[in-house]
Amino acid sequence: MAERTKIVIENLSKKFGNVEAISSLSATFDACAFTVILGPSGCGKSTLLHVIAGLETASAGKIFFEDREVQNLPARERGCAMVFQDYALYPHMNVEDNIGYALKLAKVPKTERRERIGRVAEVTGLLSVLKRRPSQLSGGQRQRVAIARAIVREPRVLLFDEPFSNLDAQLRHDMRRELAELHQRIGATSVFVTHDQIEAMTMADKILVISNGKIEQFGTPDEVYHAPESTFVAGFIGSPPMNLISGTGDGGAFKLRDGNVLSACGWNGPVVLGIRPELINVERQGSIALKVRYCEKLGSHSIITAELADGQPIRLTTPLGSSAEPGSEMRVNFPAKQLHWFDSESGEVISRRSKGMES
Amino acid sequence: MKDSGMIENARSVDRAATFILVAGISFILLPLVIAAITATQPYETFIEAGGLSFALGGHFLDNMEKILSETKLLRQLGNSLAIATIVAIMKVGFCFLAAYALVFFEGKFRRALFAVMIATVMLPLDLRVITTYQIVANVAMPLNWILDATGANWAIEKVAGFRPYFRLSLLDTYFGTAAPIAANCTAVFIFRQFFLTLPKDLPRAAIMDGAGPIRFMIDIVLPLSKTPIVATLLFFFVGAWTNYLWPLVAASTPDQQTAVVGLARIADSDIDEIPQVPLLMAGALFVSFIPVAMIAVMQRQIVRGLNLSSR
Repeated sequence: MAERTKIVIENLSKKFGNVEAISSLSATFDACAFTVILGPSGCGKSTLLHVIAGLETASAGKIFFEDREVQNLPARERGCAMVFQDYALYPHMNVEDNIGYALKLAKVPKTERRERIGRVAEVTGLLSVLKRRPSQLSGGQRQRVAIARAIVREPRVLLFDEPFSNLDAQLRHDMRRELAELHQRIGATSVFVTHDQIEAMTMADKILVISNGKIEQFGTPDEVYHAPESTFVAGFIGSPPMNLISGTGDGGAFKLRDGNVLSACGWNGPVVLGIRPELINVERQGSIALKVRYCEKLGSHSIITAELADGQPIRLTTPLGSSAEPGSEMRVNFPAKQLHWFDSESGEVISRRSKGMES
Repeated sequence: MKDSGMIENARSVDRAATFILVAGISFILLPLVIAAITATQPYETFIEAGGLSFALGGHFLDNMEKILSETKLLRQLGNSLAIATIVAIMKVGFCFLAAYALVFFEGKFRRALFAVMIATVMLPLDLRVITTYQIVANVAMPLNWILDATGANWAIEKVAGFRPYFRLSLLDTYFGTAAPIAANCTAVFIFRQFFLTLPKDLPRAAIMDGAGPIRFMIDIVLPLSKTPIVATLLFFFVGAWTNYLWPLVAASTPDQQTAVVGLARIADSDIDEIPQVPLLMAGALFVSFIPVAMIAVMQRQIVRGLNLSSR
């Protein structure tokens, strides 16, 4: 069992020339927790991981592993291990040597090395392929070797840099489950970078959503899903993501540009209304009229893309079996308790009070 | 219709390409064929024919025997072997290290260094043969300059009463012949290109595994570079083997000359005499046997190793 190591990041910044990849970021990743850093490509999430690992130096700020300040230590003294996106296995070594390379460098005696390689190979299901070269393995097996190579050193901190993005959908699903189980077993503090929100939602204890090098939200999957703190998070999480409708709060009603009223609203002035596609009720007597543009039938449910009265797009998911013809009209209701309100300028959520006022 | 037209087209292109290839190959091979035929002729046939002829002579073994007994080509072959080996190993070694530094280390002067390396390609050895000769004739020359320029010599003269002058000549040595040829950075491009095709996370993975830059080079990059290393070794071996001007200048005695230089010496025997062309051709075959055999055996490796686009 690895030592309990929490990761504390204080005002961390990373600049590449004049470009700020991470700007003054602070967060605490709990010991033994599985933290997912989620964001679109180019948002600085991989850079953050590299800075934690010691592959990049921080421009400013501090990183602590438990009580130890590590931002100035070389990578090998930090006690991290990392799993890379393109596996980064050593092509000329067989699986056994790949897994054991770190131990060999650490001058672990040969018999102990064998034993430890055998143990992780068993955990990762690689016992039968120990003598093979990486080129003779399937994608899933290669990724397992990469994971085995990382955990064989019993690291305090395990870092994952989009490890599943090269795998096909089914394999990705299996690997997610395997990795979650493995995490339960070894209990190292894990940080997992991905742009895939499903990976984030299914595996994370806590999700750190970042964009442009800044934290958008840091919370449990439930919090991130049910209480997004910004339009960015709302529009990023969920499949399809939350609808974001801009309009104006006027005399207690939320009006579209053309004057149509969508719902009650406790705010005056321009605001953004957010509602999850799966929480929109289709009702014959619904107060909101939509024009259907497109319908994706997915079997278990359908995703309808429609237009509001003023032309803003909106998506909703309908239950099993129901669908709609493009061009037809449909009527829906927005349940008052499911509405989110965001500032139209900053995109930040407007305090929860608004909900209270409506219900 | 369109399809068949395309195929028709492809066929005529094929035919034209084949024709050009055959023409090109004949153009290149013809001198070699003439050389091989001439090498079988006795001197007398050559004189009677009044020059080159296509008649096989049956004197090939006699000519070869003469090469071994009357010339120093066998010994010079040994010199060539030693010098070409030193050149190939030095070139590949230095270029490998330089490319490794260029690709895997970040530094302010990386671009400038690379530019300087490119610039040296524009200054081939043939251009600076005199300066190079001066330096090889006394490799301590820079030291003398420094002692003069700093006034150290003057001080020593005051104290000890003599003016030191250091002298170390590398002329007529294997190393002295090989080193100036080896000071060349063409392979830096080849290795740099190859290193850039390696997965970008590979060095990161090695760092995370606890490998330093030297370990990463020896354990990971070196074994992966086997193909380009073998190819460039062969390539430079052959290049050094056929090098003429510098080895001619650097070695003054027949015993220290390379085989190619020795071969040229067979041609200029006596002014009044017609040169022993059949013997010369036999010598040419004798001298080129080793590099040709190496290329024949290893040509696949050379093509694979120098092919930069796909590994």
